Amino acid sequence: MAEINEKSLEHLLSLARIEEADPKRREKLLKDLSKILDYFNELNEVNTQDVEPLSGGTFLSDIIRNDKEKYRNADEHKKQRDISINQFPKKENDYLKIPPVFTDQ
Amino acid sequence: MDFFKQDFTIEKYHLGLKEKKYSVVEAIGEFLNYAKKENEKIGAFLRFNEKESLQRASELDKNLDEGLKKDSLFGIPMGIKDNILISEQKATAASKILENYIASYDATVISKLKSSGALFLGKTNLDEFAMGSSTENSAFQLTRNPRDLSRVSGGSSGGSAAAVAANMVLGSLGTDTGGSIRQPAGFCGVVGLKPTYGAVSRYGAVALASSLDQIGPFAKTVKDAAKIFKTISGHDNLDSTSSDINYSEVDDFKNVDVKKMVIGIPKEYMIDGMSEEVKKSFDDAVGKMKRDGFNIKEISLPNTKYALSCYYIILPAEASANLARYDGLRYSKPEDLKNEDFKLIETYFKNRGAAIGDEPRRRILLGTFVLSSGYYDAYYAKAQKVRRLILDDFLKSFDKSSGGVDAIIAPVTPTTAFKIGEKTDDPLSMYLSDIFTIPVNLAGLPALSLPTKKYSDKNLPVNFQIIGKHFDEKNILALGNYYENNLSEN
Repeated sequence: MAEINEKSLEHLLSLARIEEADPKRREKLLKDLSKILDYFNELNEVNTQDVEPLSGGTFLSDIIRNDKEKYRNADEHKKQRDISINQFPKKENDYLKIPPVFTDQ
Repeated sequence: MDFFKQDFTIEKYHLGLKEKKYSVVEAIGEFLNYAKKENEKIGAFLRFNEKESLQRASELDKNLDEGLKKDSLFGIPMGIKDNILISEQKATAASKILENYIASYDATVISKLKSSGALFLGKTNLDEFAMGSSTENSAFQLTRNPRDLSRVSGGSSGGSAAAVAANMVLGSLGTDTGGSIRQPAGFCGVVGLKPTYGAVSRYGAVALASSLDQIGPFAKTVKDAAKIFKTISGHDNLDSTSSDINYSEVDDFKNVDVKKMVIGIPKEYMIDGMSEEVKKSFDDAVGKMKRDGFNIKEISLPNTKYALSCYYIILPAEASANLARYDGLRYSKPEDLKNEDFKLIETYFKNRGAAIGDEPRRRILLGTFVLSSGYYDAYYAKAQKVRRLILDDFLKSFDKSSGGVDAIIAPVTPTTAFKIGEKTDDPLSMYLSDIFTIPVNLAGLPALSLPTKKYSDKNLPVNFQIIGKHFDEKNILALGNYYENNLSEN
């Protein structure tokens, strides 16, 4: 199976949107991840030919309902909305204010 | 009179209310004072909810006689793991990235507990995002084991287990994704139930691994755990994986003839790494059951060995997706956000880099790796197939048409509670403490963790687990209740 190295760690950090600048912590991460991935090699022993993958914990089938808004209570909905909006650290009207998505550079 | 000498169960506590020995306000006042004092050394609670619980207590007092008749958890003080939402209260999941988050709604389990009269003294500590086996991964504080303060309380629901063990509350809620209820229950010597996947709504629980997570109770007795489970279970329109099962008599054990149950012990659980203490305690429990006339036989779950690898591929994969939503934009303090200085994408990197702790970071990266192009088949797809084999092992063992068993008993952990700091440097050795609990989550089965014997100061607690068929909580609870009442004396 796979080896993980400094380059692939950098790629993973980038995919996961996590900054990790400290070289000591990067080294520890790399060591821990390699050890864990090595452990997974034992799965190679298992014969899984013709085995159906099991994706979830449930055996339920889909139930479809009408595509209609289903708030239990309009006042409750407004209260929930207000609690969320009041927490925004920066806002304009009722919108969360974030850094620019598109910039010149 | 020393209030806590009464050694409360829900029933005893209700009797005192009925006989007017104390009001709900008086009782909750006692519990709060005691819990706040004990918490200084144990650290089970992240914060208390004093004003609201006393206010709620005085409302309950106004309707005491009627409430006691009607509401099964009337006036019961509880602790709630801080990854379960209570409206207008903080819910941090013990992570810096949610440090200031205030929930805007009640989890379904919370609405249900509220309507049956329960009170929430506060929110309990956990490993960050419920990732861990010792509660040492909390971004905020350590939770010590009430039975021995130099040891961990277990995890990830360590705060909820410790709160019950230390008599701070009469019940609590935790979540169990790979053993996070059963293992801390074992380390602290209390009862914990991991329900069948789908038995309890997950709406309002901070998602870790959505195909594995379940909310469940901690309590001092099996009967009390059953009462709490009965209250929180049932179908919920807000969780499409919740099942419509009738649990209305799940705490009524009268008509269950536990002696008729055939019980299996999986030989694969008797591993070399198990401590003498745990092995002896488990063997003693089995011996007592055999002498009492139980029909116990050895069974085989041949793929048990691969459960740990399987789990630590599937869990990080799901967790890395679930935790992708935390961008640190909505619940930060304004002074932490240097919005104008960075582009949006840089803000993500900075916020997540600063506020996501070591263990979630490891698992996010591991999950990202096993799902990435080129490795998906070798890891994630392979693990899903092994997961099927693990489920099939259980289904085969439970198949009555080929001489199957009704329930399985097994140890909960390979060792008793370990010392604080003993495993924090080595994630893999920490993961290995979950080997007996993980297969149950992969297969979606219910399992009850209960003490092998009544706690005495001489030894650290050892629990065993009773694993049942899907949605067969009633039978495993009945068996646990029988064991607790008849076989748990020293």
